Amino acid sequence: MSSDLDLNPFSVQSPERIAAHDVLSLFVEDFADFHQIHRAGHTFLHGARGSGKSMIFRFLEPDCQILKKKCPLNELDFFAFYIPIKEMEVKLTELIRLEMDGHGSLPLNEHLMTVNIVLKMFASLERITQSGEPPEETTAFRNFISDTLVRLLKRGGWAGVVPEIPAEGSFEQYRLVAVSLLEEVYSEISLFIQRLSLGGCLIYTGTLLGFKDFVRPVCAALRSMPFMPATKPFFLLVDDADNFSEEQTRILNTWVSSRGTAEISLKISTQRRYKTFRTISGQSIETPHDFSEVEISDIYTSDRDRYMARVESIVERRLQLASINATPSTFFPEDHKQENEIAKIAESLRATWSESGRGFRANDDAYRYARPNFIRGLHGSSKSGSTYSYAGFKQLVHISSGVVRYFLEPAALMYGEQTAANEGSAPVTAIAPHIQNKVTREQANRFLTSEFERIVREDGNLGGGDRATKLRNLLDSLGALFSHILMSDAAERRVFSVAFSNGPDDEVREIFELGTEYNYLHKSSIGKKEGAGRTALYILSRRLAPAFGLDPTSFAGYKFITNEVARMMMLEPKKFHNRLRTNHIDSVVDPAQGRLFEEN
Amino acid sequence: MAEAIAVPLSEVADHLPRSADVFICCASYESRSTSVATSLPSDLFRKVLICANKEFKQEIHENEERLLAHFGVKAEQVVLSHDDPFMGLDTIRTALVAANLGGSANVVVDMTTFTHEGLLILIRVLTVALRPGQKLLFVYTPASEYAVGLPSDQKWLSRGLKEIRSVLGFPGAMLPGRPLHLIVLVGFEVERARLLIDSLEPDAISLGVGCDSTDGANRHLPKNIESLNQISIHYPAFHHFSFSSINPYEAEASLVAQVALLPEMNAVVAPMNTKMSTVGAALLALKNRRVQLCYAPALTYNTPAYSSPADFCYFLEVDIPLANEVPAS
Repeated sequence: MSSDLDLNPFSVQSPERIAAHDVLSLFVEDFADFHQIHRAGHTFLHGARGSGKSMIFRFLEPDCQILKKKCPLNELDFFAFYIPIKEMEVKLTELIRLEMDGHGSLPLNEHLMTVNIVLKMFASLERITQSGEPPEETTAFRNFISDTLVRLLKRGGWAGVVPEIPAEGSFEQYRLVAVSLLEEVYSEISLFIQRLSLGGCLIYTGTLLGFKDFVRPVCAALRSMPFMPATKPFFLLVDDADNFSEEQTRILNTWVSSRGTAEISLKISTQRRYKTFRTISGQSIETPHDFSEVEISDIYTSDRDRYMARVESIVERRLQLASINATPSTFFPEDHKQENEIAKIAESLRATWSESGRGFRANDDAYRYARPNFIRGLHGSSKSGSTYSYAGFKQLVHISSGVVRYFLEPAALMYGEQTAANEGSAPVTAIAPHIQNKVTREQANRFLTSEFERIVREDGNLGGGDRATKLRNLLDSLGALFSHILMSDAAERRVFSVAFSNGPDDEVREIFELGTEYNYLHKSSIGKKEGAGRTALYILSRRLAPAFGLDPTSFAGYKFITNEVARMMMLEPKKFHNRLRTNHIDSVVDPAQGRLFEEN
Repeated sequence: MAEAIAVPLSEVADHLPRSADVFICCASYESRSTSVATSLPSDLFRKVLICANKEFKQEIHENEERLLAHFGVKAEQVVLSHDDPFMGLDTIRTALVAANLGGSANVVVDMTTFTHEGLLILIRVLTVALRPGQKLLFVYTPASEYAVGLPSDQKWLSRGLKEIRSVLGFPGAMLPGRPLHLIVLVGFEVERARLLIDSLEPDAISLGVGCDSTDGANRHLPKNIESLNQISIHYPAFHHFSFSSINPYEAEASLVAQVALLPEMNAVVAPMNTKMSTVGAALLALKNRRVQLCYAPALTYNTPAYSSPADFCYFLEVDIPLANEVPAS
């Protein structure tokens, strides 16, 4: 079967399906801020979906590392097993009923997780054999199965028949024996779950395995194999731990709290929806005491040059792999007519700078005002700001808002549309600007409409009341404010962020945080208006730029707003829009203390 | 193998056995939830179970009242929950026990407006409730139009994806470490199918398109093909297959072949096409307990204008494997 990547160079694939040599071709190594991941110690890696967490984990697997380091397995700096946690694999509806009823779900869930993880460790070992460098020393692995594995299983209550283990087999043959043993154990619990379907009070009498009595000794035994880097860190890379149920998450946290990182370090990735940091006994695990933490999205939203370079590198590699002879900029060309118009406006700003310029240099004015003036010109009397074209590689990277997937997914759609437009008669060597613009606008609208409905439901179910409505009002108000500033004569027109000149109160903060949780806002910090200390800066996701007709290319501009104005944005959006239309922007968003509301 | 028979609604009673015993239907915001029921004489059945999802209480009120009034004292309300499958399982099971299916009872299910999940759970409960010799008959009223009144480029049935869950009673036997083969019976709801695929991140995808259409004139076929094309842009390396949207046995056969294509993989089937094909998915998963069925409820549904009913229904007798015949995994 051909892979999605063969057919669409921007397809987003599960990293475990990507061969080691392709991982090395596609992965842009950038561990400058991720030191903890390479070191012994439990680590949580948080990041939005699509920010590259799984690819980092896949890159750490031994088959990729031996290619990267050009060394045998036992000379690696660490040994890592990749454990992807998929939706519905461990979080089965039947088990949730057991959890709800409190019918001994804890040991069953730990058993399910234990077998799941160890089976995936053995599955991960397959990639070593596929890498062409399977361990030659197989006796130790055979003995591990016939002695350690079987003994540990029997200790856990397994009463099955030990399969015949060939005296002289390959590493892969032995690996398959280990897999079949664990699959048999898994079948026991699986059958029990099926019987649970229709309720009733069933008692599980099968094998029960756990972290301390199975995962740890299995890992210790594997570590002692001749092919292992014996004294180096040993990692279990648990990817997408948000997919565990709440009880399973507590079990995982209990494993984290049990220390012993010299033997096993748990590297756990989440999409910021990790259900709890409490253990089964109700204690909290805490950083830095129990684990270290990396927030991958923060790194890229706060350092845009680095993000731009990273995406450029990723796109270059994907184009190369697809044998497309183009650079990212030529593959995603700008709308030349539009850019020529903007260049003309820039030239005019440079020419008039000596008389009417506002910046320190003529080029500053050209950079700051040419694009906003162009967008303002499009609005004109017909209000057709939507004719602005969101095309061009750099513009698309800005819109992806620090998350690689938000670049790749629309790019894959654009590639599909371009392929259809070429009617299969010509290979795709570039994406037409109108296709880039169309897909980008559709994605922005989807983000603001159907994806937003998820918050309405999820937050409503969690008792959030009308928080989703307030957030939607806030987003619309921020979009209107930034659009208004873009069309104004303000010195800085490309504004995407707000900070508070006073407050915020708990209700306002809660709504801004909700926006951050669902990636509609990003959070950073700036110096306070009065000078001392720092305050939170909330940046509107650039994925929304096309929905509000904004220029996504600038990062510097922000506006101070008062707590009262933020409340108006959330609770009285019409009033806020009316104020914007009839007042000067600054007098609306950050009036002299008290004045705005005293007058009304 | 029984064929689905298309019957005018005005003649549906003529096709039911005289000894029809229990009738089960689901009140919905779609008017077709009453089409078959109100075409039947109210005294044909000993017991009528009228299911309804509690989350849509307001939207379904009118149709539910209509059904209750039609069947009078024989009617019993069964509360289901869109958000809580356990509730549906418990209430259906309790109602069926109380209905006391004895002897050669026949059960007639109007599956038209059950959710896919509700229908599957009902089938799973029936595998236990029915006894050998008892007949299970399904009826289904197709839609003459979906997203009524909207221009074709603006039609929508649902938006967003609330969650994904294994269907209660069909957990499969997913072996960890094995790659995942997701088999989608593609319907009209492209966005939901895409979000489902994105969330599950399968290693292999089979996208099935209906080779026939319940409307009788195959008017839905182009839309099905368009849906498939829209999804396939995102997953160009998918396995294409076709299935019957009308005949559960043919749908089951197509699914069996699709599962056999990648026998070493964990197979998950997402039935998102007609209810007839969903019955096909149930038949597959009841006979091959390694296969998991999944359900992905949407965030919102186009409740005011979801569909308009056709003037005929399909009628089909289905042999489901009963609990004592269901093989272990």
